[in-house]
Amino acid sequence: MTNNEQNGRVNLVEKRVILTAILFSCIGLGMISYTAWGMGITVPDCVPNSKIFEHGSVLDHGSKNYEVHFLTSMWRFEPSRVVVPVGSTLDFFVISKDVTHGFNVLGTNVNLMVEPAVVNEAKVHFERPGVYPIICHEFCGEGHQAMSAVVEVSASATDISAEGLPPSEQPGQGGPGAASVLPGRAVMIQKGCDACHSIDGTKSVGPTFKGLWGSRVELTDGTTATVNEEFFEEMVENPGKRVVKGFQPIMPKLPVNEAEMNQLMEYLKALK
Amino acid sequence: MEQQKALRAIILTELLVPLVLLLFGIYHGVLQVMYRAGVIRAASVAGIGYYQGLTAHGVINAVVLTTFFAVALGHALIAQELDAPLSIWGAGSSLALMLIGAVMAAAMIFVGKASVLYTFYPPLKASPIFYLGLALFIVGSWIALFTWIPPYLRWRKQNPGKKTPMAVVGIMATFIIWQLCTLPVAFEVLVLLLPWSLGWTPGVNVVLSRTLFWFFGHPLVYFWLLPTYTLYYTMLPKLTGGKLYSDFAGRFSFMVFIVLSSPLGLHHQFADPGISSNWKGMHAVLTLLVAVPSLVTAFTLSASMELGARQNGGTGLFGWWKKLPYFDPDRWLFSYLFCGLVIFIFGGITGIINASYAMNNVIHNTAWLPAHFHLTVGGPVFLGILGMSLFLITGLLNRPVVAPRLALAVPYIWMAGTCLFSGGLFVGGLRGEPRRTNLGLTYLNPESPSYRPDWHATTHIAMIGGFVMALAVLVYFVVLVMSLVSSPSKARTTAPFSIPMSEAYHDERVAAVRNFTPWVIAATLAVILAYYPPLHDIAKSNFKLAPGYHPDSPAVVQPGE
Repeated sequence: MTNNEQNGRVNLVEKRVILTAILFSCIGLGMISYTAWGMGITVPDCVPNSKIFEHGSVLDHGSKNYEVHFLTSMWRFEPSRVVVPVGSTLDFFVISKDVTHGFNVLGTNVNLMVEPAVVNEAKVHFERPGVYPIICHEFCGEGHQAMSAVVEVSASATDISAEGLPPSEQPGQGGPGAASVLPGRAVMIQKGCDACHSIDGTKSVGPTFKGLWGSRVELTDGTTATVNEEFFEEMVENPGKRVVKGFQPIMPKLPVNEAEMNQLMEYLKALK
Repeated sequence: MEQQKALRAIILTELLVPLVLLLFGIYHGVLQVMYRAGVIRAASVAGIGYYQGLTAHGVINAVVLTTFFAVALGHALIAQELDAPLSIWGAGSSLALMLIGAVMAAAMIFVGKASVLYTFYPPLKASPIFYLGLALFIVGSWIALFTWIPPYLRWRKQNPGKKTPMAVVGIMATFIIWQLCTLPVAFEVLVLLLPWSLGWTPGVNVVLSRTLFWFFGHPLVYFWLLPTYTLYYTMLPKLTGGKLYSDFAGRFSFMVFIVLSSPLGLHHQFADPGISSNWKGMHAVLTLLVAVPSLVTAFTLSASMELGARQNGGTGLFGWWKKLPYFDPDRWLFSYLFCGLVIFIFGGITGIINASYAMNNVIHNTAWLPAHFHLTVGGPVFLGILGMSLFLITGLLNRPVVAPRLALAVPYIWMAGTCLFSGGLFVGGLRGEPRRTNLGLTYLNPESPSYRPDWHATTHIAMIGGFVMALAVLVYFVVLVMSLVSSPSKARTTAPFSIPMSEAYHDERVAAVRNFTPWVIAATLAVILAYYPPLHDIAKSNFKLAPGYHPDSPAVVQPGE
């Protein structure tokens, strides 16, 4: 066995091997890029946090586009069963009430980690009818193996239905989940209104939105007012001027255009 | 190292203690495949819960065994290759801290106060003693590196212009990576988790904790792997009767690992919320680059084995493969290194799949994952540890390896076992089987409403594989115990024990790979570039802190509980 004596250059074969390895990696990167940008299959991104996601609910955006919010907790999914018509597109928003959970919708590309205090999101289109189990695949305590839910894509269903939701969140006509008021809800999340104003009646930094519309409120200057279009616009456009009694004058001024203002008001009207 | 009696005792302790613990790790591994196949339909067996045992399986096999071995091998190789005594104070205090830490963590697992798995994701909460034990264990392993630095610097001064022995390069690279990546996890454990588990802080930032954990979690994989790579580059060529094909390739690979093993941990968090997909994509790119040194290693080792095989009379384009010492009882260690390499081909390929961004959506947290890492940490790493432990223990105690034919059969049995085990889990994972789940209670239980008959075949194949793997370890322990109780061998009494080191075939004097400093600086910069943006985002996001939960109850843990 001869030994090429020491010199300062890398062995030629070894140099080619390194170049081949780098080429391999680049081919791999090309394939990854193609799946991500060419085919549009991607991984979860940041979603604005909102209290709206803190319980399970289903929302109808029309044309078989649905938004489904899952609340996971030790050891159940809320909702536990969702039925949608064939050809539906489901936008899943998931958050945990307690520990880290998993959210793998078998037979789809939806595979998420579910964590407390931060929302995760994935969208999927169901072309074929069938039963798609949702499995918790992250250890979440002694009951972990019993934690599953199901999406049923049914040829006979015409609208979304769900089991295991809290009574207030059953899908229905005209409520806060109705398609007509969803743009307003989106504005609320985007502007962060619900950071201070709850939508379920709980006391927070500001008055709750639930049942606020049309009610009479007492103000710190001793007067009273009815929450209507005029009052609402004034509160949003000039927050510090009049303050509801019992609350601090700390509401920031947020840029809201006229369309957004109307959408917000439609949403508030639905929050009975 | 034989001259230093105390160091010899330290090395032997570091090899034998985790091997004893491994017996439980393997026992529960066997139970796990039975739980998962639905053969056991219970929450616990013999007083040990499924998730409790699973925690012990992970902590013992993947953390305690691997770290003790890396430190022991480091002591042995550094002392031999630099021909210098090591500080017994340093090596001894490192051992003491690691032992105390391991005992604390293991005790909490066995009394059922730390059934949080070896990734200990908050807000599942374990006993503070568990977290403290882990921290002490890590600090103990740090001390080892600092006992090697002074003799290494002395050696450099006394041998100007001489290349650092390859074994020293491998061990130093291993522990430089370890030093870099254990800082974030030490921060997670000591600053976030320990005060929280003591009830001093009301909550924990889950996204931050997970990010710090995986900042550590992926380089951990290289910390497992590089001691075995060191054996591949230093011992394997000699065992085949040849030389290392390229000295440069070994040094290049180790240096690149120093730079690229850390700045890519987000590929474990592709499915996580709260982290921008931009940073996830950046880490995916870096992950693909770290395949380069492994591909270079695959070639260089094959070329080195070819040199040896041709030396043994092998000919032809592929015919030389027949002339490797597969079943040579005098070179029984070859089979441990060789089978590890074969298994790692599949471990490496599936690793690239996992890291491939959108592809992760298909396999994330399914049984595919344990299938993959039983071909990495359970493949080359584990076989390297078994083989080299037997080699070092018998060598240092001057015992013959009795039944070397039985010893060399162990890796082949193990390889057959992993083939079935991981094969079953791979297919099962693609069909949606979740990992770390007591399937026998629900999904594999015909009486449960969530029973899934389509997971029956794959879990049973994995179970048979698990049995075969356990058989391999059983055979190993028979050989080890028989060797330990045999009388000292006479042949070796004249020559002191030493670890055989390969020579280089192409000994390229490339200055760039013969100095750690630029690579360590590059590693630090890479880590800052890769982790500053996501950590900055997380800090800015101001996530609500999560209170703690014990694994057995959905109720929030009150402070003082």
